[in-house]
Amino acid sequence: MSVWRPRTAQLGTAALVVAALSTGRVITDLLPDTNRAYRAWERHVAVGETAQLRYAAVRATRVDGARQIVPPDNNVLVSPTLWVVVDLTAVPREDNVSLSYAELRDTTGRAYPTSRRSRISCATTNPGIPTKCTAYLEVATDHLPGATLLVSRAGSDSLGDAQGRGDDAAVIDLGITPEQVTRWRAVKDPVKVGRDTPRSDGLAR
Amino acid sequence: MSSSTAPRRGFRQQYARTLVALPFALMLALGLSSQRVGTYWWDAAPRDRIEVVADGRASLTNHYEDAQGWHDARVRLRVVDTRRVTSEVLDHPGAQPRAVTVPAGQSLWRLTLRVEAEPTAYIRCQGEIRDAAGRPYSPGLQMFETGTSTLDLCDSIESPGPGIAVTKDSTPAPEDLRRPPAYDRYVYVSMPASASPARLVVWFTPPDAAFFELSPAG
Repeated sequence: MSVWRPRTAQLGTAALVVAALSTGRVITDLLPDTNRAYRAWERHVAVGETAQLRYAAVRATRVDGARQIVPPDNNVLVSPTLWVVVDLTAVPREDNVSLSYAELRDTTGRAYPTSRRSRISCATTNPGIPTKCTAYLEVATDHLPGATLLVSRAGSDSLGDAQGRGDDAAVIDLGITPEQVTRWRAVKDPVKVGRDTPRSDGLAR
Repeated sequence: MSSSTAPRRGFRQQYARTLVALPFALMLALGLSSQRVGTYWWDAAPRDRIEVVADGRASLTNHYEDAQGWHDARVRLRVVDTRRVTSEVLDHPGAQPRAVTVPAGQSLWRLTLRVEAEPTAYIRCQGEIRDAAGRPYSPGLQMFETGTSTLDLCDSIESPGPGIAVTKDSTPAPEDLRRPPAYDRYVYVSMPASASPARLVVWFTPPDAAFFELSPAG
């Protein structure tokens, strides 16, 4: 009875297959996971500065806060914590654009995204035509000083990622101080959202 | 013993069939996996040109279904005028002028479309205006007036024809909603002051669309 002995070429082929499989596994392990690979490109600015995004120039013009707000639909929203209201302007570059996603991030990394209560209101405008947007987000007050606001054009895509996969996003340092938070919590009158600017200023509403 | 004495075949002879089969196997594999790139092909863009004849007229067909079955509504379109508007707008020719304030840095343009269609056909079409750089601009006065978005460019504003929801049993009936067989339709678009309309793109069902070259006056 003869014993099968592999030839040198067969051993070499097997070694090559194992090496190729190992290399593939190493490359797969080194690649970022889907969430990291498609995360938004963040452009960091402060209030009053313009974030030059791929699809629009975005600037925060005003930051306010209160326990109560009056959104455009006239229903008063009361929070046990605080509403942060941010006015922005956006000038689309190459296409009709509106900002449809906002997310406030506090200093611990907690994120407060747009939801059924917290929203961003923004008219879609033609390229070169400025539009006024207002984001109002309900947030916890601890760790709020130093918070940033992320805004982007993207709604949710097929994977349910609302932050704009692989697209630009503006991250705005809101410059909130502890004194501001104390003052906003003491405000009795509701803040009116997005209606202090007449249309004749050239901003679409 | 015989195997040790048989002459060894060369590499080409030994693998000739495999080598010839490789390109076909590759093409077969690519073909079978081609559905993966299908999601990256956006078929909803207006890009297939409907012919615009020498006098600037294009014929578009709206293939639509209502309660009475499928119909083909043919519309003939021509852009007869493109001009800048500074202070007032009219909903349609002969309408009462309405004052508008065009913000600094912006411009408002009015296109006049000559529309010819069967008076009771459903002819609501979509469109966009492009500048010389190809940037698309949505038509309408919504940048200046609340609630005046323009979703249709073809139907008559003054005497609109039937909408898709109008059927035999509707009130008013389709035959009561009659457009003139030919009329002028105004289309407004806001742009930055540095830009001007260069092309109007009109479609019923993408990708088929008519591309009208514009010659702005004023």
